[in-house]
Amino acid sequence: MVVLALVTATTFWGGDDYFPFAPFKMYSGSMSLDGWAGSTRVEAVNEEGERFKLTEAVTGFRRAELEGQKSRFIEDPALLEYIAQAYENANPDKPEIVTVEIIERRYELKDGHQTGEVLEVVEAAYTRDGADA
Amino acid sequence: MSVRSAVNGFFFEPVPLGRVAAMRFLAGLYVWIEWWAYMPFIFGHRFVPGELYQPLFVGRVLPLPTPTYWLVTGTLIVMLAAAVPMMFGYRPKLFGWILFAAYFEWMVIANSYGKVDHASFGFMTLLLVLCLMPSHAKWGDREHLSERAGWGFKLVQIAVVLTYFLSAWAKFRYGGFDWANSGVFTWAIIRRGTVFSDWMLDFPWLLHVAQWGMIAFELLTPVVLFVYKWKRVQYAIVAFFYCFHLTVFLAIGISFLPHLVAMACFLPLERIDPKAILRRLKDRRRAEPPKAREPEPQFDA
Repeated sequence: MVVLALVTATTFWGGDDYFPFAPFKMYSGSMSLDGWAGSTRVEAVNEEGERFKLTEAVTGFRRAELEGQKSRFIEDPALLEYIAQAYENANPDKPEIVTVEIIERRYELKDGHQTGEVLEVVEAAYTRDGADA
Repeated sequence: MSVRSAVNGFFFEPVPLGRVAAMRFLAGLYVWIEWWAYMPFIFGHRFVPGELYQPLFVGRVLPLPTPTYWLVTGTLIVMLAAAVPMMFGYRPKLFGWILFAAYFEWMVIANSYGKVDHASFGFMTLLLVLCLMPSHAKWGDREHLSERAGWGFKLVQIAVVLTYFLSAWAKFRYGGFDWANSGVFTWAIIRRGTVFSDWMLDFPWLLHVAQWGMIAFELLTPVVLFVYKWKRVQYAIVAFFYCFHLTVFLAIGISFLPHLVAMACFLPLERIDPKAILRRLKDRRRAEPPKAREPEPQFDA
């Protein structure tokens, strides 16, 4: 009963912070039918100049987590260093990363249809000191 | 029938102990599958520097430590080790509590990096109530009924239904009443579409209708609790829920697996008796004439 009361209460007043009692808000935001629908990713450039995507599979850090903390990264791009560290911890044999970028691909919508207009925006970028990438 | 007896009849509807054994097995099996197949990112968090850890309310109140490589790995080991005896009914309460505690920490590790998931609420409720159910539950036991088990599973069922019902509320709260008229499904498919759903982007009206359907579906889910006396209707609704999740999975690749495991407690799993099935298989093999050696059938098995 307590559990039920808590989950109901946090649905009304709480936020994600109160996990496991929290609003079930997955995909609950409204998306405008006109405007830009974004899809975020992280890309990295390594010492050898190769560019690749930093996915959940290679870092253990999810896209949704990146989006959840995106404002932090935009405010302080140096935090992207930690995503590079996660990659290097997980892949100690691979060449090290010099640059990390958050890129959002935005699709234009009009009346819910895609217009075909696509924009790529680098929202935050970080390059390690001493690297000239 | 008085209100009191109706309420008691609802909450304490007796359930055969066979279902408890089956749910313990399923819960343990899920724990064994989740970490490598369903949510490998949780184990992946062992590589993520503590600076990206964003402790939740529970993580601050309970002073849970910032996850490190060994904390994540250790939690996983404890969880997997406790799941095995619980699955097979050996000291299921003791190991159930250990599993619950470890899984709770596991969920804290999963949800403390900027994204909170909601598919496991029913499953966590299930792990908790399994600790409170009789330890002597055996597979296939349809004779011994337990009100305690019935009460526990009822709570899990309510948790499962609330996951739907309250997410409709969350849509009103965060998305506003216009949620169903917005482009949210278009956005979801742009982000995570599959071959089964990408074509829908060309038919926004279809997604629009689907959004209304989703709200209606979520608001109507409590019906499944109230039809508990008509088992066939209830099983049909639960089957519909499973089909709904299959559709969502095909469309955007999100499966809500722990939720599906918790939902299984609606079903008469006590009818499954692995030992009886094995015995029957053996009998059949014995009854079948080994063709090459003995031509005449044997009936003595």
